[in-house]
Amino acid sequence: MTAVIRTEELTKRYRRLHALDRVNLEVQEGAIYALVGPNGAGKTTSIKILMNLISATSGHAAVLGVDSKLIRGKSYTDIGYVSENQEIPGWMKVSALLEYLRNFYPTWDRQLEDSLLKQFDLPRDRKIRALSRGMKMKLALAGALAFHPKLIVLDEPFGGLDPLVRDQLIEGLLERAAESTVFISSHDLAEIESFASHVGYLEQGTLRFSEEMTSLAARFREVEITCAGESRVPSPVPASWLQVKSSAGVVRFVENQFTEDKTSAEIRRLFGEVKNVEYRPMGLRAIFLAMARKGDEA
Amino acid sequence: MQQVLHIFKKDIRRHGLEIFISLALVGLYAKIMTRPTDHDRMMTPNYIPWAEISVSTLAPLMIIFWIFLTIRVVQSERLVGDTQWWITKPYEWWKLLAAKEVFLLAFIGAPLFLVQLYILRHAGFAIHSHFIGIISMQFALALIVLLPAVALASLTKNLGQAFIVLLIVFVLFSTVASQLSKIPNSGMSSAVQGLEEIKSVLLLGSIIGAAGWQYARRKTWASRGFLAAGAAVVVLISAFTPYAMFVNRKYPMLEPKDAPAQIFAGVLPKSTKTLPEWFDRIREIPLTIPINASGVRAGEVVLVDGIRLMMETPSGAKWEPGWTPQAMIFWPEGGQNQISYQIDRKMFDQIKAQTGTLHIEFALTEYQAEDARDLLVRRGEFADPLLGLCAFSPRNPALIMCRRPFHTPGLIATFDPSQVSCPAPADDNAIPEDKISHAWYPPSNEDSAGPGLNPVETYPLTFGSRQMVFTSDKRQKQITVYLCPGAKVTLAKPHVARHVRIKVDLNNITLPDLINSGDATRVASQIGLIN
Repeated sequence: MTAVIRTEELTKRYRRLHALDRVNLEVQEGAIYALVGPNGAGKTTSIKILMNLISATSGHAAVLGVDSKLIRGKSYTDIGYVSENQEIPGWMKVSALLEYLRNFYPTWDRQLEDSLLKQFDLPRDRKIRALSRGMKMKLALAGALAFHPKLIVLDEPFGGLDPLVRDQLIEGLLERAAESTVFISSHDLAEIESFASHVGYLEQGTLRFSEEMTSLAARFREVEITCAGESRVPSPVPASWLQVKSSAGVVRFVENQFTEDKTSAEIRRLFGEVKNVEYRPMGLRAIFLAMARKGDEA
Repeated sequence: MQQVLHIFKKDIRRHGLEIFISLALVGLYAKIMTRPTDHDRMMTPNYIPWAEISVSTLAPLMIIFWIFLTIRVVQSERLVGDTQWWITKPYEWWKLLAAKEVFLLAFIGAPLFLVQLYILRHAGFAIHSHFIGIISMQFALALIVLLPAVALASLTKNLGQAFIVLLIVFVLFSTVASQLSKIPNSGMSSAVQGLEEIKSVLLLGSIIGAAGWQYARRKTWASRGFLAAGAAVVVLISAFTPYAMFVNRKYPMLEPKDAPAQIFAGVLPKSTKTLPEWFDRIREIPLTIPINASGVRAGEVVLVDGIRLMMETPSGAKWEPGWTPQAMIFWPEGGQNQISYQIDRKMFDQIKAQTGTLHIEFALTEYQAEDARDLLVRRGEFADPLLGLCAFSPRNPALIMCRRPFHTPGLIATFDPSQVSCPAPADDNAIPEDKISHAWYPPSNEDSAGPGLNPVETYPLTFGSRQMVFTSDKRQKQITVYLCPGAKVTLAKPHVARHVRIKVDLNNITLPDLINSGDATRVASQIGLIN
């Protein structure tokens, strides 16, 4: 597998603020990589550096094997980029915009264009300024998919969209995902969880983790221990335990390095005999919240 | 090329209305430039004065609209910011820039080119021999108007920001120019050979560099910095050029006896009036030094390019304001003139009571008349290879109006009223001028045309001093030269013979001796100078 996106010690500073701090990231070909994190974590900054819209303070980024600083002109024939902040020319009609785009891409697929328009219910003869926000996003996505890009980069594409439009966007995206690598930043964790193959968690400019969804889901567990007597929180707790709380003989925490044997052994070591231990799998949203709260506590 | 045309076609669709307005303005300009003269138009029954649009209104309007159109077209693909839709599309930067240039060429350059050819043809000149001239006019216009507009548009976020920046640049430019003009000797920058060219190249280079860099890399602040640095270097060069040294080098000092003209300075007779009340309130005191020149050889003309005053008093007080440009001409027939100068009141008050010597240095250029020949002026319109197409002014007997492609010719024209009998009309109340009089235009570069819209330069050949005098019956009358068909005018081309500097001293004077109270000027014009 080759890395479609690779960053090494990528750093972006705005005066004293570290928007990105030595981020090392790798996205393999064919992956659907979701970059998640709270507001101001540096997701959009990372994407803008990758797309050469802004420059990094230090470090290195490569996209499709090209130094991101050199991405311009023809490099974009392989990249479909959609952002919620993009200013699409409102004076054009939907058909005029697509016709205009066609000439820029040697791989533009007219049939795919038609099918995307149909799938997204986009009216060809309507001025773009008259489209709703959701329609504009669909149009941007149609324009970014119709030329079979090797890499699709989406920056917060679902923000403020109703569930129906979101579903349409995801559906359109997934249909193309087989031939492309997708890099997406989003707050919409429930949606991300449904289709992302990899996830990276960015917090205050630092990449806390970056891994496959399956391994992430496997290593995070919500643990509930019912103690035999009065519950007490041992000190210190293992570094992998997050949000440790106790009440009425029950201790709850999030284990972020879960393996049943190791976690059980730790519980026995710290609590001795307990009445019951439950390990509950966690959704991405719960993992995200646990990580965010850990960040807040820090 | 395909991408260039693709973007170009999109811009046509986007800016259809603006294109229409631009073409309409150019068409209106052609109509105005080829309409009958003001005099003929006023005679028509349908003449409506308030519906008249003058060239002086339309030409600035066209320039402003073109700046607006350029900004709009360039900002269709805005270069400042990172949220634009197009910047993540496969645009080649140079193709985008080329598409914008093609647009400006197609909808500003080409229509203007055709209209300029039409105006030239309508004015009676062959168009095929003036293609290069028109192209060089357009090139100059593009460098002065369109290129800065492209740079401005590429470095700003939107139209509003562009016009705010334009306003700021205008205010800054005015302030800096005003401050630079206060630098001693800076008015004589023409004495520094190549200075203006160096400054122009630096400024244009930084404008082109900034716009090009912005298109190629979209590094907005770096591009703005590059442009600002270029402008700053130009200002620094203007501020620190040792102008006086260059003036001294260009105009070597001569003994007055070897000078191309003998110049005498004097003081005005004491005014019979006291100084006006407002005189005490003004910050700059106006001084006037009458001068008289003689000894200019026949076939020559001497131009005073600049003067330098220096007042010295026995107590050691000194007033030395440096070189200031002048535009005085001395002809072989001699003549009077006056130096007008202003001195700061503080300095004036310091030395006004002291008697001293005023040194006056003159930077002179001596021109020799070349290829002199006689021209017999004819009734109606007549052609001359040097003048172009000319005709008598129907309303001014001393005036011949001429037109010529691109610019006025370098010209020395001499008319001697005593050699021809051109009687004044019986009902004319003016006094006929009987002295030899001249018309003059400095040498121009015949190979190039400057920036502008109109390829036809209309210029007057005016003879006579046209001064008001009091006659013996105390009535004010004008002295006027009368020209008529058959009058002989000698035409020649001026050729620079040499640049020299001479010094004239005025001894035992005080600065108040030089104050011009208005009344003194009038008296001096009638009774001559006190040397």
